[in-house]
Amino acid sequence: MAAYIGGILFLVYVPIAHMIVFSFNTLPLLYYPFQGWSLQWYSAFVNDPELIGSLENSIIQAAITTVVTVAVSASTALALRRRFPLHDPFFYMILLGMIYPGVTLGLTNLVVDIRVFNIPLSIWTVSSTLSVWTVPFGLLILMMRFDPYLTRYEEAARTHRANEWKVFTNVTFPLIRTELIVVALFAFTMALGEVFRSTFVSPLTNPELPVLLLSTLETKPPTPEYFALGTVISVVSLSAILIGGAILVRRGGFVVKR
Amino acid sequence: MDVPSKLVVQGLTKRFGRVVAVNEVSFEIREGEFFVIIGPSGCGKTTSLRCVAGLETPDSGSIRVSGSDIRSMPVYKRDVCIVFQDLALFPHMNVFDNVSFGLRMMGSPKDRIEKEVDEVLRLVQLEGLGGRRITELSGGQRQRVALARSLVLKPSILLFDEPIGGAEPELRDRMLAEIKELHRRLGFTALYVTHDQEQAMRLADRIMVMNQGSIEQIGTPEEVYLNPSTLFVARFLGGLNMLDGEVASLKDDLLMVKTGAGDLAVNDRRKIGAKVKRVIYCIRPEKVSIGEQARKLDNTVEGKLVDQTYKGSSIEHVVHLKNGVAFRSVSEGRDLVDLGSYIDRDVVIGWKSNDSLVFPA
Repeated sequence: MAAYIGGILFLVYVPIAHMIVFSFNTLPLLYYPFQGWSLQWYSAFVNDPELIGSLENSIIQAAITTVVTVAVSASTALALRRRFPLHDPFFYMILLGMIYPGVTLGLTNLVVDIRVFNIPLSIWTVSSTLSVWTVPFGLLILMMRFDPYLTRYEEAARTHRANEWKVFTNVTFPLIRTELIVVALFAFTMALGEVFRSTFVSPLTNPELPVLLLSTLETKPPTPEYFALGTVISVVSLSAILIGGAILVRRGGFVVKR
Repeated sequence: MDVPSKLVVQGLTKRFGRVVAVNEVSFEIREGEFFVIIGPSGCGKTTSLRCVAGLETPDSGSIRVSGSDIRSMPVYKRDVCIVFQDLALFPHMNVFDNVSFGLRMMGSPKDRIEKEVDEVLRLVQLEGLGGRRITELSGGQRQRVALARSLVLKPSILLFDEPIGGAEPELRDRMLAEIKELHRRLGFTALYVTHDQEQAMRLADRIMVMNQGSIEQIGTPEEVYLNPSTLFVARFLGGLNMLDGEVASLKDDLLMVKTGAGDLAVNDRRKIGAKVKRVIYCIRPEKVSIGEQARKLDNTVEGKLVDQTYKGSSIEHVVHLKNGVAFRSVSEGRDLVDLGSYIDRDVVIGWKSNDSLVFPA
């Protein structure tokens, strides 16, 4: 068991560690042995307008996607606590966004945006497409982690002079706040690194970073600036996941709350 | 002369899908009365309470508090509060914030809130514990916080949804006594829902027995216990010995019933005997005397004593009658009868016709 886990971790993290180490290399690229420590590639990438532009776009898009994901998954998770007509079909339809093949989602969104609605590609088109994918994840996390007593606390609030808005701000929101933060962290990470769907709906100038990387690396070999960039993104994403995971574990482990 | 009605419920009906949870229920609660609804799970008592609170929307019927119809009022505007079974204290707030919740939601000024909360905390003997987190409190303390949270708002009607749950008997006992004492001191109007007979009998000014969505009987604890209007009420509110029987004769309220254990007499105040032939003859265990002293009573039956159980303040005897039915006799206090040496021997049991009950079969 330990060997198995070790093997997986090795396969996943060695390439990343390798990239991180070489981002500090003085000589370009993979000239072994490792020459010396240098921050030149970091300054190179900071000064490359194309890369920075893409990074900016990626971050803004991820932020928008996160906000949308948290808002939609939270309101849906709260609403789904009660039975209503078409409750189950509604739930399955939202889950579809998670299972739906990414490339197809991207392509169909491209067609709908450009052909049907005549919307030019931008961070908004990327955001709307990615949200379809991230919302079901957020929804499932919330549904699994919601305190079953939440409804009871809300009833207690209502029967003690709180109207619906006050119930939400005084009782519901404080009790789900941590789970919402977790959803936000996961959504941000997912949106930042996504490439399959984004490829189709990214703007042509300053496309999303993963998209840029993919298209660039198809034509020319990577320069170490990309390593520097990759390092930054990896560190940010890993931190987000670790923080999110740590919060979940502290609040009661990864098991589903009874 | 008439004490004004605080709550008038008429024709209350609530369906969940095809199940009729509450079926044309009507009742009234007077000002200052402690009104208990009792019944088995699923009888509609909790649903009725939730309709009064506004947490459920009735399909039909009217609900009037102090004369005004509250059916169209949203929950937070109704002048009611609920003390829940699982207490539902806000976990992310301390004691003070929990108790002051309602006042804060209403926008009361800070100094008034402090004064009132301090007062009510003193009332429930939780003085000085305002800063504690809910998780730091004992079960009994938590129940008192829940009480305080509702009491501080001085609602027209205080609703209780089986608040004394699975705590140990001693704690339950104390809570019952505290609630009763608070009611005596403050005089609030209460609607209390429970399935527990002891709680109902101890707390209620009047009891309403419900079964499968309908009312079986409304009356004082004494009335529903001594004079149950249906077999269900008789069985639900206490032990009951039962025999199938046929009406033999009825004269001046004295009904003779032929049973498998002999001809027995009952005081038929409701004159069931004139309308039906097949009946169920009943007598409560504590009204059944056992031993030689029983021979002097109107109804005597012989049987074999099969068991004697010592219950502390009472002794219960199980007697098998000649038709196979097992009768229970309970003797308490000064009338404790110890027949330990008579087990497996024949004994006599007896009771007064005035104490027996009869219902249509």
